[in-house]
Amino acid sequence: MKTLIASFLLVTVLSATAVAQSKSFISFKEKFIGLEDVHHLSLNGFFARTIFKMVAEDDLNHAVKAIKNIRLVTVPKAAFQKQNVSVPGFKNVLHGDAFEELAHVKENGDDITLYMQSTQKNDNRYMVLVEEEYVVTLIEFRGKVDPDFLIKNRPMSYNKS
Amino acid sequence: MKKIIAVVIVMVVAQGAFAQDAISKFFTKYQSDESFSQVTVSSKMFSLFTNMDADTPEDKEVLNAISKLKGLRILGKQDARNARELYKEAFTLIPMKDYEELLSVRDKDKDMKFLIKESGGKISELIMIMGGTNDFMVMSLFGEIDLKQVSHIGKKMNVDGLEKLEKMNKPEKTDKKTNE
Repeated sequence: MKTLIASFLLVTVLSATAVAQSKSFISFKEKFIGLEDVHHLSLNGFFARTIFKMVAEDDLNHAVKAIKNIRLVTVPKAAFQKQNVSVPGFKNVLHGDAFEELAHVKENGDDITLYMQSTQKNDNRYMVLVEEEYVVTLIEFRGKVDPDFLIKNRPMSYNKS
Repeated sequence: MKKIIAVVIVMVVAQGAFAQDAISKFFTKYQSDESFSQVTVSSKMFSLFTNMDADTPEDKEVLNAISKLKGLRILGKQDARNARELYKEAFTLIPMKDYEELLSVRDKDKDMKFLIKESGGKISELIMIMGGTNDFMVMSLFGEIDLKQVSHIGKKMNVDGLEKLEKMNKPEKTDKKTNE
């Protein structure tokens, strides 16, 4: 009986998690999942906030307290070639999925773009696309983030001092 | 007649796109150079500030000023031996006839210039160009710009240099030069 209840709960939680993902995140993940060196991580808001509390400063904790979940996929660039797709192509998918670009940073050869998909008030979906020399990382999180934090802190700031 | 109208529309649109910000040429020239850092902030990001709560009337003014911005672009290079050359090159690529010099700062290790573009009594673009011994930066802020709030906006966005405009209340049509 316990096994049955546990299975039911697990399936329910996993289904709810799948529904909460954006179409573009699902398509990105499904394109690469199972390939060599592709990693996927999903955290609900409680775990994410607990980790932030352990490792981050107060202003980050303040900014992310309304985050409901975080998902992350890392994909080697070689997998893009293998699947015959490209990062600019995925950016088009994001635009098609109503993600709007908030900011873009290019530093030391790394390319970081922040997108937002407006859903309901205080419940937006954010996507961070990080393109490094050999790896592409896609991070999706949902909730409310203080725009003051987004614009002030790296990678969105440029401070020369 | 329709063709003429179409041509005029295309010309206006093309000019608008070209004149969007002065550092586009710089971006185009150096976008593939990995020694440069680039930052682009879209109008969507600035529009998020309209929903923020302000604690004081001053904060409300700053948030209001930020929400009217349409974009920010920064191109910079740190540890650059050719920072002074880049600083000079910036003035050759920026169409200076479209801008008025607002402020010029020179000290022992860096030069800074602030340029504005005005139309209809409103400032539509602010450019900051900085060339130091080792660092170079060009920044373009565009949209509806309230100069009184620019230094506060700079603090909010962690962009160094904009605090130099703190003591300015309004743009002056004549050049204002300051040596520090």
